[in-house]
Amino acid sequence: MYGLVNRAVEDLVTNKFGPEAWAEVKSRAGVDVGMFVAMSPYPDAVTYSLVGAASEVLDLPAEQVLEAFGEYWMQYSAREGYGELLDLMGNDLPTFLAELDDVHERLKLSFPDLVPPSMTVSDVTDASLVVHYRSDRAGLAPFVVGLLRAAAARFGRTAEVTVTRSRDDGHDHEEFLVRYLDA
Amino acid sequence: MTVDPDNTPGTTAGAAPAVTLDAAALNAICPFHLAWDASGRVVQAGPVLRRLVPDVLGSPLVDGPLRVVKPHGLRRFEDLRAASASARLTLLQGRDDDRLRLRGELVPSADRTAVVFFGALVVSDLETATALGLSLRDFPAHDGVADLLLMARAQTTSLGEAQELTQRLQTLNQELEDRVDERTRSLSESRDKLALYALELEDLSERLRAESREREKVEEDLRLAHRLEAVGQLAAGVAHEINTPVQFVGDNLRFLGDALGDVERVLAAYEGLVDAALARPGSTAEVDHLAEHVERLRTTLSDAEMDFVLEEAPRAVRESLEGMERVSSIVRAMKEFAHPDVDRRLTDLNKAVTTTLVVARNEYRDVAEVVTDLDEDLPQVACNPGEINQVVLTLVVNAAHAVEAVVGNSGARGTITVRTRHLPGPDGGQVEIVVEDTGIGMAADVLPRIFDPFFTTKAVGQGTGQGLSMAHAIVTTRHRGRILVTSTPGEGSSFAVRLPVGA
Repeated sequence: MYGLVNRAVEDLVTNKFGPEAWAEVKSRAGVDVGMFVAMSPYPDAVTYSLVGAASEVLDLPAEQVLEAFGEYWMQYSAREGYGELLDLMGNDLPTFLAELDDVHERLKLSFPDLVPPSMTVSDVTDASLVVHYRSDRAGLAPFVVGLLRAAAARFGRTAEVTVTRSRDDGHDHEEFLVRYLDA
Repeated sequence: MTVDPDNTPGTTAGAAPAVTLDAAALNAICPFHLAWDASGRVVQAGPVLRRLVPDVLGSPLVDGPLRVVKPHGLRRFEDLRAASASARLTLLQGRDDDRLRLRGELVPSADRTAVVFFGALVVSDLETATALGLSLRDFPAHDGVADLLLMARAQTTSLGEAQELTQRLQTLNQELEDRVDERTRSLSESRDKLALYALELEDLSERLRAESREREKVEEDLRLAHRLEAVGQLAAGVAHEINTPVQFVGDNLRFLGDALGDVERVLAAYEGLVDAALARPGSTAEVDHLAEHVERLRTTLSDAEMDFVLEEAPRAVRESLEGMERVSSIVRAMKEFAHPDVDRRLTDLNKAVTTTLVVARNEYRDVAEVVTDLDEDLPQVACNPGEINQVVLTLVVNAAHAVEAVVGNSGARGTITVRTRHLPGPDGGQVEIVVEDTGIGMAADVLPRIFDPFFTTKAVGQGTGQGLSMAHAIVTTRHRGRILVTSTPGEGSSFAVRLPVGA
C-alpha cells in the first residue's frame, strides 16, 4: 500500500493517543521508518503490522481499529488534498461509491503500483443500498464498514453498515448493507 | 447526426461509414460537443455542455455564451465550414466565465449543412472543475482530462510532500549542525578540561613523586633509625662486653704499676748496696753497713715477690694487649654494624655474620653456644651491608630469646648455629645465611603471621613485632631475596635468608 495509507494510520494514532503511542506502535510493529512518503509504495505487511501493533498497544480489537481507520481514512484523504476529488465524485452516496472504481483507475496514472479494490452498488433505495466489495486483500471488511459509514456522513447521512456476505463464509466477495438510520 | 467521413479522423477517405451513431451515443461519448447550422446558430450541444452553458442552444456564433477564440475571426457559418477544412485546432471559451474552455476540432456534417465541434474541457485542476460545477461523471471514461485532474492533484500532493520532506531535511540538517556545533563546543570544552586535568595530573604526579621521594627518604631514615635502635638496644650488652676487658686491662695495669714500684724499691736497695760496696769498707762499722744493705736488698726482694712479678708481668701485658684488641674489635664491629651507608656494594657476608655475632654476643653469651659454619668460598653479594647486618642481628637475637625461653636461668645452654653457603644457579646463584636454634620453636598457626608488622609472641616490652617484618622487607623487597622458615615447637627454628648474588 502507498505511504499515504500508513501516514493515515500514523495520523489517527497520534491524534487520538499521542506521539508516544505511535512510537510504541512502530516499535512493536518493528517498523523503522521515520516518515512515510505518501507517493511511495510500501509492502502491505507494514500496514498490517502497524494495525496489529496498534491493536495491542491501544488494547482494542483489531476489527475496531480497522473500523476506526476506515472512518478516519475518509477525513484524512480529504484533508490531505483529495477533498475536491471527493467533492467531484458526486452529491450522494450511491453516485459517490459508484465513482470509486473510476477514480481508482484514474489514480493509477499517479500511483502505478496501486492495487485498488472494486466497489459496485446495487439495490439502491431511499432507505438503503448494497455495496459489493472485491479486493485481493483479506481481512479488511471492518475497514470498509468504517469507510462506508464515513462516506454516508459526507452526505449528511447516518448509516448503519453490516456485513451481509463474506468471503469467510464462502462467498466470492463481501457484501455490505448500508441502511440509513435517518431515513 | 452524420458527419463527413472524409473529415473524420480514423476513417478511410471516400469509404461509406460503417457505423452511424445516434444522438444518445454521441452525447455519451462527446458530452461537450456542439453543432452550428448554416444560420450560424447552435442547434445541438452535448448534455454536460448544455448544463454548464444553459443558454447555449440557439446562441449565435458571434457574441454567444461560447466564443470561438481560435481560429480567429470566425463570424459566419462559411467561416466555420472553411475552418473545418483547414484548421485542426479549435478553441472555445465561455463568454461569462473564461475558465470554461474547450479544445477540439471542427468537422462538417455529411450534408455540409452544419459544422460540428468535437472537443474536451480544458481544465487543469480540481478546484476549477469544481467551480465550474463539474463532477467526475461528466467526463467519459476515455476522457484523459479527468486523469490529468487527478494527476495534477497527486503532483501537488507530491510537491507538498517534497516540501515537507525538504523542510524536515532542513530541520534535521539544522539539528545536526546544532548538534555538531554543540559537540564541537562540548569537545572544545572537554579539550580545555582535559588540558586542565592534564596540568592537574602533572601537578599531582609531581606531588606524588615528591611524596614518594619524601616517603623513600623517611623509610630510609626509618630503616637507619631501626638499625641504630637495635644498636642502641645492644649498647648495654656491648658496654658489658667492653667493660670486661677494660676491667682486667685495668687490673693488669694496676698490677704492673705495683710491680713497677716493687722494682723501683729493689733497684733502690741494689743502688744502696752498690754504693756501700764501692766505698771499700775497711772498718768494722763500714762492713756492718754493707751487711745492712745486703740484708735490706734481700728483704726488699722478698717483699716484692720479684719472682712472681717477673713471672706475671709478661702475662699481664699480653692479656692487656689482648683485652685492648678485643675492645678495639668490638668498637670496629659496632662501627661496621651501624654503618649508615645506603649504597649497595659487594659485601663479604661471612664478615657480616661475624661482625653481628660480636655485637650481639651479650644477647646469647649466657644462654647459648654459637657455632659458626661459614663457607670459605662464599662469593661476595651486592647488597646494603648495614641492612643485611640488621637482618642477621634480628635472627640471632630472636634465636637467643628462643633458647632463653627454654633454658631460662638454669645455667644450661642451647645452641645457635650460623651457617653460610653458596647455592649455585643462574646469574651467580644465591648466598644463604642460616640461623638455627635449639629454642622453643613456633606453632604452625603462628608461622604464617611472623612477618606481619607488629606481630610478636614475646612478652610485652620484649619485642615490638617489627624485627622480622623489617627483615622480611629488607630481604624480599629491597634485595629480591627470600626468607625460608622451618620450626618445630619444643625443638627449635631455622631461618634461611637467601640473597641473589647479583642482588
